This record gives sequence, C-alpha cells and structure tokens, in this order.
Amino acid sequence: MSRYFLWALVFCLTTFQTAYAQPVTSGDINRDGVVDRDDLDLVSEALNQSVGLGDPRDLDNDQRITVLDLRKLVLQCSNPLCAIDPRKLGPFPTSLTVIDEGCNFDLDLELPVSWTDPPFSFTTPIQVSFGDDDGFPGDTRCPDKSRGDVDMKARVHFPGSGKVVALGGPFPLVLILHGQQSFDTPGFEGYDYLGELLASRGFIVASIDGRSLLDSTIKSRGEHIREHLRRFVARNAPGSGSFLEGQLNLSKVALVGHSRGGEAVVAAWEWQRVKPDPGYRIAAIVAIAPVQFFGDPGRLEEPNFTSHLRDVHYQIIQGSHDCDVADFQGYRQYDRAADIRAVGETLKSMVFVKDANHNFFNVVWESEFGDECKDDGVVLDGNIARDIATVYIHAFLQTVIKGRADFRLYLTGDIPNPVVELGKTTVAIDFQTPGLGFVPLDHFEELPGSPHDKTRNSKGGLVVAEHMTYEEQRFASLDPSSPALRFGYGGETFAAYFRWEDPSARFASLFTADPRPLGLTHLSFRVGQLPQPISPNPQGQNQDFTVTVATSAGVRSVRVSDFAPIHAPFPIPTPKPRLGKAVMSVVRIPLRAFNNPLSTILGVEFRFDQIGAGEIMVDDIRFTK
Amino acid sequence: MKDRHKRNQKGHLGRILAPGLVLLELLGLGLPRLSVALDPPTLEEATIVDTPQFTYEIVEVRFEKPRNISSGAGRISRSEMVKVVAQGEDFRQRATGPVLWLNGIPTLRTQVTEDGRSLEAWFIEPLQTLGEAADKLGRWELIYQPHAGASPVFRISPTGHPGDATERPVIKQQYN
Repeated sequence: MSRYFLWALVFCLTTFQTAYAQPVTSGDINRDGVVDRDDLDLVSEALNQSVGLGDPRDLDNDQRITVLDLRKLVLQCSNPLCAIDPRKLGPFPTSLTVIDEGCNFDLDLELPVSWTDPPFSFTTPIQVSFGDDDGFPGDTRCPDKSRGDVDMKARVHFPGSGKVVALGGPFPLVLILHGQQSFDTPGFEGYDYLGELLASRGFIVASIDGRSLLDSTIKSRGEHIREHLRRFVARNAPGSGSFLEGQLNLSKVALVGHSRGGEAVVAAWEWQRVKPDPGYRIAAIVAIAPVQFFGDPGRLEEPNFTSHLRDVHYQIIQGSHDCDVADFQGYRQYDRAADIRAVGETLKSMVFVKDANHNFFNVVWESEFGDECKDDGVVLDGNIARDIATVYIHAFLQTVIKGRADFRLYLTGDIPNPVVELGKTTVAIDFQTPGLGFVPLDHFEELPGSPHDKTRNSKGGLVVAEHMTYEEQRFASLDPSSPALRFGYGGETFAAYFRWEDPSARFASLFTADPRPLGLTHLSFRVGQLPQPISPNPQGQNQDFTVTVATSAGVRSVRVSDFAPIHAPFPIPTPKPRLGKAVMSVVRIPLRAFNNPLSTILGVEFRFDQIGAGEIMVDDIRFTK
Repeated sequence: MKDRHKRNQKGHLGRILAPGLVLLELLGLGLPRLSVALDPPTLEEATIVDTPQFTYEIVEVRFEKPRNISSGAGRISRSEMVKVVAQGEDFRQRATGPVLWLNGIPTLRTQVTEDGRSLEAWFIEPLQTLGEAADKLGRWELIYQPHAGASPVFRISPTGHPGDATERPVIKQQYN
C-alpha cells in the first residue's frame, strides 16, 4: 500500500471526524498526552506487520497492524486532521554546526541587478548596486579586505547527529536573517528555538550572521542572503564533499527575516525575481516585525520603489507592543502581496500578537538588549511570544513547503493557537489562500483612472448600503493622529469603511450569476475596528454583525462572532490610552453554514444588528478554500 | 493621512432591487494602483526635551581614498564626511533608529556602543551644507530621536549645558 494512499486514507478519515477535543485514550502511542499525527505515523510505519499481544499500535488487539487500527486511532485524535501542536519536537534527532567561511565575499564586486516590475508600472529599469557600504567608516569587521569584506557564517540546525544528516532527506532549507543590532552581539544565535524545532521536523535551518552588513543597506543584505543560497547550492552539488551534499531540497527554500532582516528577505526575493540564480527557488517568506525602507523618503540609501510579492507565500508576524518598528510598517508589504493586478499563487498569513514587543522574538536580543519599551510588566513574556510565533511559523512552513493540510488549520484559525488557548494573550490573524483558491467578490480597490464604483461589486453585481455610511478608505493600523503616520505608514490597500448607528443598517452585494467556482468552500473577508480617537465602537470590546447569504434554496444568517472575533484595537505604549493598534483579521464562514452548499448563491448581506453602533473596515470579500 | 473618496449614498436603490437585476462588465484589473504618497521625515510635531550632561562633538573627516556610499538604488563616492559623536546614556540601537538630526538634517547612519553611552553618526552632506542649514534655522542644533517618528526627542548641547544647546560647536578636522 503506497504512502500516498495511506495519507489519503488518513485525510479522508480525519476530514469527517468532527470531535475537536476528545480525552486522551489508548491511541496516545508515543505517550505525549495527545493523539495526533505523530501517533498516526507510528502506526502507519508498522502497517501490515504482525505484533505481539499488547502492542499499543494494535488498537483492535488482533496482533496485526492494519488500516482498522489507523481508523480507530483517527477517531481519537485531539485535533481536526489529527494536527499536532506545532511547538512539539518532531521525530528527528537534531544537530548543530557552524559553517564559517570567514570574510570571503566582496559585495562591492557584485554586478548590479536591473529591476523592473511592469504590472505595477515600474517599466524603466532601475540599476540596483550593492556594497559593504562605507557609510560607517568605523566598522572594524573584516579588516583584511583582500579576501572580501563580508563575513560568510551561518549557524545550521539539521536533522541528524554529529555531522551526519539523518535518512529521509533531502530536506528543505530555511534561511534566517536577524536585524539591526550592535556589532558585538551574536544575534544570529537568537533563533535556536526555531532551528532546533524545525530540524526535528525535517528542515535544515541556517541562521546567517549578518553583522558585516550592519553598516549597510537592506538591498545589500538581500544580496548577502542570495550569496548564502548560492553556497548552499554548491554544498548540495554532487562531489562537493560537504556534509550537506545531496541532503538539501532547494526547490522550495524558505526565508525568515526579523526586523531589518524582514525586509532583506523580500529584497532577496526581488533580486531573484529579476535576475535569478540557478539551483534554487524561494517559495516562502516569513517576516517578523519587518521594516519597510524601500520607498521611504527618510531612507535615502535605499531604492525608491515598493515590492509586490506574488508567487511566493508570505507570512508576517508583529507584536502590538513593538516600540521599535512601532507603526507596523510591514503591514504595507503584507497588503501589497498578492495584489489584484498580479495575484499569483500567493498564500498570505498575518499574525498580530497582543502585547508582544520587538526584541523578544530573538533570545539573544532579549538577554542583551531587554525590552525596547522599557516598561516591564506590560510587555508579553518572551517565552510566550516566541511560543506563539513558533506555532504560526512552523504551521506556515509545513503548509507551504511540505503541503501539510493539518498545519494549515492553525493559519486559518480553525485550530486556535494552543498558547493563546491558555489565556496567555490574544492574536489577530489573517489568512488568504493562493490565487486559484480565491475568488474576490469585492476588493474595494481604488485605481487611478478607474475609481472603485461602490455601487458595483467585483463581479459587476449591484451593491446597496442603507442607513449607514459606506466609503472607500485606506486602512491605517494606527490612529491617524499618531506621529508615525506622518511617515506615510498608512494602509496600502483600500477597504470599505462602514459606520452605523442604526440596527437596520445593511450592506448588500448581489450577483447575477453564482460567482463561486466549484471547490471553494468558504465565504471569507477581512475586518477590523479602527483606532480612532472618537469612535462609536464599544471601547475595548469586540464588534459583531450578521452575515446573510441568499441562495436559490433560501436565506440564512450567521453571526460573525460565532466564527471569528472582530478585535478591539490592541493597546500600545502611548500617552493616549484610548487608542491602540488595529489590523483587519480574517473571518472564514463555511458555506455549509448557509444551508445547501450546492445552491446557487444570489447575494451576500451584512446586517449591523448585533451592536447598536459601530465603525469597522471590511476588505477582500471572497469565496475561498 | 487617510484618503477619503466620499460619494453620495444611494440607499433608495435597495428598495427597487431584486437579486439578478443588473450585470455589468467586471472592473478593469490592469490599471496601476494609486501609490501611497510618502512624506519625508520631520520633527515638526515632536516634543523636544533637553538632556543635561549629554555632550557631542563634530569632526569633519577627509579620506585619502574616496568612500563608496549607498544612495538610492545606486552608489555615490565621498572623499569627506561629517562625523558626530554624542556622549550620554541609554542610547539604543534599533531597527528604525536612532535618528540624529543636525540643524534639521537627519541621518540614520548611526551606531550605538555596547554600553549605550556613545552614539556615532555619519552625515554624507558636506559641512558647508550643514552650516547653511544652521543659518536657515537660525541656530546649531543636535537632536537625538530614538527611532523614526518617536516623540519626545532629545536636544543635546555640545558642552552639556542646555544653555549652550544652540551654539555653534567646535568642529575638529581629521584625515584618514
């Protein structure tokens, strides 16, 4: 029986298994307190084998491991699809090594890349040059310039022991780059919590020492990442003699960047898009509290263009209590990813963690620099912040690199973050499926020369708003009076602004033909409260409204709060405690909630009848998976 | 900072509508999106706080070999730069800062020492340009901003006395 068939069987069985939290039973083969995919793996590996009496894998006690044992086990799973807790170490032993090639890369010799992006009107080529910038003449790293002025060092976690990679490869590569810091601090050692976990689950994880470029630019840091990738291609090649020879699957590389590193990973993707290196493909990007310097008039050393990610999966993680990248400027990058003009096969995931700060996502930064906000007791504990990030980063990489549907449930919110479930904090998440799994009903975008007609939806159907205010606005994460917004870090996408003070307020979007292709299972949209100084929203409380879908079989309504919260803005360190920082988070409603999912859909209506008054923004109403 | 595109409400339409009444062509998707207009950084609204005991000095540094410095997408060459060294406490290295403003001109080419007591900043503008900015401003003034957009910001005096904060500092010369 093939492994694929087995997994298909498991998938089918678990899809129809609806119990979300059953007590732990004899199916806990590995005795870790839960029944999950790890237990299924142990049974699957022994399939069709005879075993002795009392073997824990033999759930039906017939002394043979069969599909029937698998079936019994699946019914005991603690989570849908038997999903594991993404924080849990995997089956591989892990090893750590440092690859240190010294200062032997000269960025000044790198040829410029010629950058364009025609779908976004950047048609005139821009020559982007690199270098270990001399803007800080005091930099004393790599003093012997004869061999190059950039350090090539990486800390590598891999499945295996000693310097031998485990069987079961080749394994996908994850590259991590830290952000701005002091020259003497080994910040690249601060992500071991991710490296060890991911290695135990079958990734090879390299955390780059980026200190040579602390005095340089985002654009050059991006090229530094590419040079590391080139060297991993060489190590993986036949005859390289490296312990990594033949051990790397470079067809789906993931890049993880923190702070300035969070934009450098996007730069690496851009340079690879316009001037691709052979031998690898960047398939996923994770940005932790990233900066957005490209296109910022305050950053004269960086290119004056903005990037639009597509055909690369993108995840962003940000804390609400970030006192460094305080304005959540990476939200712009997130909004621009999968732009309606070039959507691509781009899965997007956003995680906004209440009270998390900037530094604590890096263990070394936490110990060396502490809380950048200097307000101990308010900021989320570092271990909790990292645990939350670990859940989502791991789930994201398993979903987009390894195609694991069970991990996807954490990104959609179908399975809550287990750390959040413990009451440690709150997260607001957004999730968008790739292009083929996404049919917009209304994207609300304002385009030059073609302003959004708010009387029509994206399918040409009629839109009606009654007893309420409906406008198109840019969604801004921060209060408009915040000094940070003077830098233009407002929203990058237009959304519908709704304000009501009448319970009969409604917004209806009608369709002349069923707009839903086969296979799409959810009605979804992004929604957020606004961090306004004066707002009709109940202070500090979640909003709510009713979603009604009219089908050929009738009309059915559900409350948004039964599927996802519309969070109040998260508090931020500010002398104006009324204000906070907000995002638009995802609401996903299974179409089966509206009766027969095969009925023809005629219209969608939002009725603002749950809370007497309010002010929210809604974007990207779509059918999705 | 929000762009508002208000239009008249047409609530009465709802009363005459039925599902399936109207079909128009899909919105055109090939047009460029309105780009967000970014403002240059400013200190206009920041609260300025004096920092007694903090000091700074300015050094005009001339290089024997010109330096390559990133500028926009490309690079420029400089044979002289202006270095400002501020002494104080609790300077912090950040992703978005610190920003040092000399006579209203900002630089983010800043590096904080490990102990947080010293901050070195480099300006690519010639000393003459920085002086002209002082003339326009009517004073010499060094401002430490912990990160872009932060308020309050901190004014540093060359001598450590707030009363001297707007005086022209002694400018040293250095040849590398």
